[in-house]
Amino acid sequence: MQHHYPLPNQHPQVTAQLEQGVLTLRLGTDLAPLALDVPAIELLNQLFWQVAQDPQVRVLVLRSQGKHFGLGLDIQDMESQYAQQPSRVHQALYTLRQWGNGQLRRMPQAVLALIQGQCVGAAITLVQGCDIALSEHGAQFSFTAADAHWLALEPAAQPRADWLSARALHFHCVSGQAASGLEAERMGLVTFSYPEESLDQALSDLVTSLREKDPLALQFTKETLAHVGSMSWDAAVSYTAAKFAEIKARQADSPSTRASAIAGFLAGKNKPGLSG
Amino acid sequence: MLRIDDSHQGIRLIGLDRAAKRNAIGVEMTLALEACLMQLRHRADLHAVVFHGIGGHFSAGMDLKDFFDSSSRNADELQRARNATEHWRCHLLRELPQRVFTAIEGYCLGGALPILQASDAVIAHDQAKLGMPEINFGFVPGGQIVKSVGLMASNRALSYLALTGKLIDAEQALRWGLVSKVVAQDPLPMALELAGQWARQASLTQAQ
Repeated sequence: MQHHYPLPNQHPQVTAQLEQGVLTLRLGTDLAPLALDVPAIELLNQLFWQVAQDPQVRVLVLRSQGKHFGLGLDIQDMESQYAQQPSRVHQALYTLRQWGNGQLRRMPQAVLALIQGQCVGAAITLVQGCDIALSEHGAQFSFTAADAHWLALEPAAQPRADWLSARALHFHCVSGQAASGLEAERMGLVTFSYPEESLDQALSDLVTSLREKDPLALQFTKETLAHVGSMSWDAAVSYTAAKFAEIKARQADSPSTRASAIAGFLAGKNKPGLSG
Repeated sequence: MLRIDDSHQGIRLIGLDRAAKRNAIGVEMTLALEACLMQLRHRADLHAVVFHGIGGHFSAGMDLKDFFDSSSRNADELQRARNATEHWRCHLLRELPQRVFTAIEGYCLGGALPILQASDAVIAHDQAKLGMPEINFGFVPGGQIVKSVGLMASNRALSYLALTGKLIDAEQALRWGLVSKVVAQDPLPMALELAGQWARQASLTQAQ
């Protein structure tokens, strides 16, 4: 059953619906693609913190209400806000930087983006922050955007090379050429690209799989992904030992997916996820 | 647990040999791997190593029965096996003086993935399936496995594999950088051929 999810504030470009543990944030309106103004950034940030504390939400999906994922920043709003409250604009840009910099990947839930149509400038930063991103083949990712001036105020808010091939990123930034969904998949900006008609089914399959995961295992896996890359091999071993002990301790007092899955596997009753 | 074959000039073949368990790495196999790789460090006559699986699968990863909740092993034995695993996975594999070539078919999962990352070339059968299924068991992939996959593939690929627990086919593994080549036939002959080319060059260089 689908129901509206309470937002910390109202904004015409953000709606949220929760259905069977999957919170879908729709950005933009039927007629106007998302253009991130300062209130929208503030609202989304409050919402991300709220969702991170909400055990009802197992998967968070970011997608557009209309045909385009997002056109980047709302330049008019940024200019008028900057004239009155420059520090508020800086804070909003800092927030944007945090999304791309790991805030979304540190949320306990899986965070997905589904990209259709145009995805420009600051909207790419949002995509980069997600764990898994699916796009249609015909999506257009534009790195050289009207909001580049504003993103330059917080350089780390710009699309970054740690989640996509640096060679490809520089080409698209220098040439100004947009990348298609297929190219975005090749450069690592999105996980998979699909024909338009298959996109919703691919998303549905993915969220069904993700919402069935043990929430604690998902959270700890995300933490492991966030941290071990920069560790030495020996530190990664110690980290794993600590995480294994913690997950066992926290699952100990209640029936866990882990215990039942392992028992079923050893008894030959099931092979979770091993069918391909 | 291991089928070791040094009959090819300058090459050691290491066959994971526990077909009934899809070559899952249990206590005996992990101890054997540590011993085998320790010995290889001092074999100047061997220039290449080829890993492969016996019985249609490369490896289903770490043995659930031995290393997870239901282990019937005593604590000391299990601790020794865990230490051995970290030793060969985190250090010995990466410090081998030989080039490493790996042939995979069937399952190549979880704890077997660090072998791929330490390999100079990985030849995969087109029906091979790779993945990190730990989360399907309500568990967390080991940091060493995550680190290994992160060194081969993009963050996008790593996140997908670790969070979904879904298996990918050999062609997807090729696109994501987990394997070097996909073949329609047994991948072992090609891995052996590459290892042979390297071993011949290395022995010529050694002789000069």
